[in-house]
Amino acid sequence: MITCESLRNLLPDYLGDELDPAEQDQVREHIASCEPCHAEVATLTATLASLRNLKVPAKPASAPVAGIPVGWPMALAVGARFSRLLAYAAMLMIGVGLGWIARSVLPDWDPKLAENNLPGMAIAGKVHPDWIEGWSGVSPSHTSPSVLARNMAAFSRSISTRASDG
Amino acid sequence: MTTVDTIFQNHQAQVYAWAYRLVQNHHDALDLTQEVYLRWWRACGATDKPRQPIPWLRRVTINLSLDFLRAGRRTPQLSLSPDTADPSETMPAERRETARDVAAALDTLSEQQRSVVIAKVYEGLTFSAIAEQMERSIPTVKTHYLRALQNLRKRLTPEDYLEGTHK
Repeated sequence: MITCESLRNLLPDYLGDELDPAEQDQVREHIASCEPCHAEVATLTATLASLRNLKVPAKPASAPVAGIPVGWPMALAVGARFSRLLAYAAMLMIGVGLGWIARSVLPDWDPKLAENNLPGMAIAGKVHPDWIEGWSGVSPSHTSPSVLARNMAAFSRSISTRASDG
Repeated sequence: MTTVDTIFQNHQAQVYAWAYRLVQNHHDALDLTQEVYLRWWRACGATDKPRQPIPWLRRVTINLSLDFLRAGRRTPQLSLSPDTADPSETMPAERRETARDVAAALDTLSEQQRSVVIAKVYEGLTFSAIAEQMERSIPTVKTHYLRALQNLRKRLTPEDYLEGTHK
């Protein structure tokens, strides 16, 4: 007859079906007469039964072989993952291209003018003077007199330069 | 075909089975198997290559499957042909629930305990085989196994057992 201590040592093998028949009988004999050990073994056996409920259907066991591109070059296997990256790169290229075209079409930027008097239009800190013909309509109270005077001078210079170029 | 592919191909049915057992859905298990394949490729290209393929594949598959379940990404799939029919579609709701409970319970274990339980209960390996695969001693593996079952007990054992009413 084994002791409770011996049973604890044999428990993993008992629950793992790795005891020889003689040892199994010894364990069964002990738990039949020992309430705490019986409860321990019964609950752990029930836990094992719950785990074993999780089955894999026989049918799909062979299915993945055909579904996985084993043996393909890695670039092909992961092609789908890169497609999103390529889309981002394409959008970036288009954005850069549009920016370059905009800069070449709209020369003579005046960032200071935009920053000080037309914050709503100064989205990127750069506004072309031609866009803001009505800039004088902006209330002078939005800016200090000195800044206003400086911007008026800058604006006049810009207009005269463009007139002389033309 | 490279050695990397050959090793994976030899174990892919097992990888699929590990994933399927947790997610209980053919298409999701297939996606997870592909994800494991990609990770296997990357891991084999790294300087610190997996020394033992099976424990590596088991651990990564189980972790990915549990991450997948935790994120709630499982989506019902419709099969268009008998060849791609998903057996989980005809699975009783009760069994799906059991599967979710078991997966959630396994998620509470340490990685070592989880690997030992899955190798022992679902693959039927001996303690000595698991010890060799995982490069651990046999007593350590047995300890992980018993601790794992004790940890799972509260979540998976019917109440009458826990209350001591069952004889």
